Amino acid sequence: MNDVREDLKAFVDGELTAERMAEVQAAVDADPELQKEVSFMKALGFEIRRLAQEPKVEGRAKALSAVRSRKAFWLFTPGGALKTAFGLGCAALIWLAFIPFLSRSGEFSAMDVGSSPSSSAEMAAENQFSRKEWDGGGALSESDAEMERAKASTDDFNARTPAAGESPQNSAAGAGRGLYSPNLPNAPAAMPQAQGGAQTKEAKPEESAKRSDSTTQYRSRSEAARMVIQNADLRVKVESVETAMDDALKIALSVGGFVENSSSTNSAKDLTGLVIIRVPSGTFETVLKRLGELGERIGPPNVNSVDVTKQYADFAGRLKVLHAEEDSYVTMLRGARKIGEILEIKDRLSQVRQEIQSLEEQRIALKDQSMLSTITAQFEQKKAVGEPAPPQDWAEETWAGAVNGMKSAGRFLGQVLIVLFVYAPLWLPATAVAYWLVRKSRVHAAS
Amino acid sequence: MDSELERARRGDREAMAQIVDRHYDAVYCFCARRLGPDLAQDAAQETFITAQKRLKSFGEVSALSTWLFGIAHNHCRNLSRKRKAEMAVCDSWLESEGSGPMAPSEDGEQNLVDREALRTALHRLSESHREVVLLHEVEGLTYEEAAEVLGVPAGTVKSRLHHAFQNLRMALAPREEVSA
Repeated sequence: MNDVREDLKAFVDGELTAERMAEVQAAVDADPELQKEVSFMKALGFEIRRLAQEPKVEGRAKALSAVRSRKAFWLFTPGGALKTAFGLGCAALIWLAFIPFLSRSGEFSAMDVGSSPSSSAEMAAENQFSRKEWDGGGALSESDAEMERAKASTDDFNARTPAAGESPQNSAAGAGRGLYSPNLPNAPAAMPQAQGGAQTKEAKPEESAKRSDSTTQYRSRSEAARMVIQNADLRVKVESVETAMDDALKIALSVGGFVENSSSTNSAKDLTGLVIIRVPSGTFETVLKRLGELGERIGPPNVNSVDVTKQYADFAGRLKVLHAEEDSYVTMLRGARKIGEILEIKDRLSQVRQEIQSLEEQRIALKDQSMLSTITAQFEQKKAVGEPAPPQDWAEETWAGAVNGMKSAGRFLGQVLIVLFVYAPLWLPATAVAYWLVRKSRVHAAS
Repeated sequence: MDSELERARRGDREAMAQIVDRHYDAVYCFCARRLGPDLAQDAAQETFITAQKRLKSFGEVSALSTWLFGIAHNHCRNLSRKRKAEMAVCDSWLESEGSGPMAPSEDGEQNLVDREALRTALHRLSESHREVVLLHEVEGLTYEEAAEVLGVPAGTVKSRLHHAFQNLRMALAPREEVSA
């Protein structure tokens, strides 16, 4: 009976299987209580339906309008797909535009890293060059005008009194070429600055090709006018110090330079070699690079560049004045009659000539230094000769390893951050768009 | 109908409007009985917008109206939660419109229960019991359809209905006896 009662509601609602319906029907027919219960359930259902009033329907037009005006997800609409394709195309174009820029900046970076310490003179030249380009390329700066004045005075001085070791031929040849060339000891190797300029152009043919003829001429002139003393020290770890020193000698000779000093030290632990070479200043960077390639460079080379152009011009001016003074003394000496006067004039003349000589030597030394750069290379043997590697403490080894690991991790993190920063114009908008899309989809899902 | 549904699935807004027009009354009443007329409009509109978005996921296992009721049920529940309505879902249809014995039915049958007593008895039911009573007795859904709307098995709906009516019978028993 209880089972029938449990199914009584379902029986009233017609939700039972036919078989069960027949069973319950039979039970209801046989039991007046169940019949009464069925009647009550039917009446109760009827009353519940009557109780629930039919609400007055409102807002149909609003719902229809909302459905009709609702836009599909922009990505899946034809216009949205088109916009997406357009956006992707733009992104690709930006990407393509960025690639050469990034790669070029990478070249510049590599070049700077490789030679930045040693190329301050060239950078100075570049700056000068750039400034002149901005000035219009035609107007001479103050230093140029000064050099022109110095050139005139030097030419005048050389024409009258050629210095020791100089020939009138060289003077004549140099006079037509540039500011300081008249005083060069020999003509073929006389223009290291100009040669340097030419070699620089050879090293970067694509760059020089891009530049116009006028700027190239201007650059040559400015480089020829500059006098820069370049010195560099570098340390290189090599397999064989002896071989490295030989190679350094060959490198120096191959560019027209020479070895000024060479020495080696063989201590109990280390074998080191020191080579001081002088090379034409135009080949300074090339030689420095080639020396670094002889082994494993220890740190960046220490480069020192001093521009002595003004100092050289000052020497020329002072020489001119001294020569004029010398001339006047000579004239006075010719007209002197008294012994006392003659002695005094000769004494003065001697002082002036000594001063002239001193200035000439300083000027020649300055020129020599600017023509020939000095590179001091210290070679260190990678493994001490004949000595086994000293046993290291395990704690020290572990410490060194951990420190190196931390350095590597830091370097890697730094690289990642730099890359992320550089590529920010690409990934940042993409991330923002993705975030916006996700947020929008979440809002839609929530609503 | 199928073609209308298919067109709506393909993004035809006019076809979707026809579906809305066809089912709006039922969905609105469904919402109004749970939330009242003030919130029913919003709930019904949200129901159709959600349906429009998810129409592709409608597998036609059940009737479209049942599927819509399922969405409406979720919206009603969410709205009720969001607005912290003191009145629980399913209570709006029991709001008092007057007391006293019910008017005689159209066929002249004598009322067995007092309206107020029935309303009180329905209020005393648990929410789950009241919900199945509403879905089956008022909305006219079958056990299967009510089960789909609520996301429970049909046997659960049957059981809940049985117990709901047992409770109502017990609550109204004295009056039943008096009436009898």
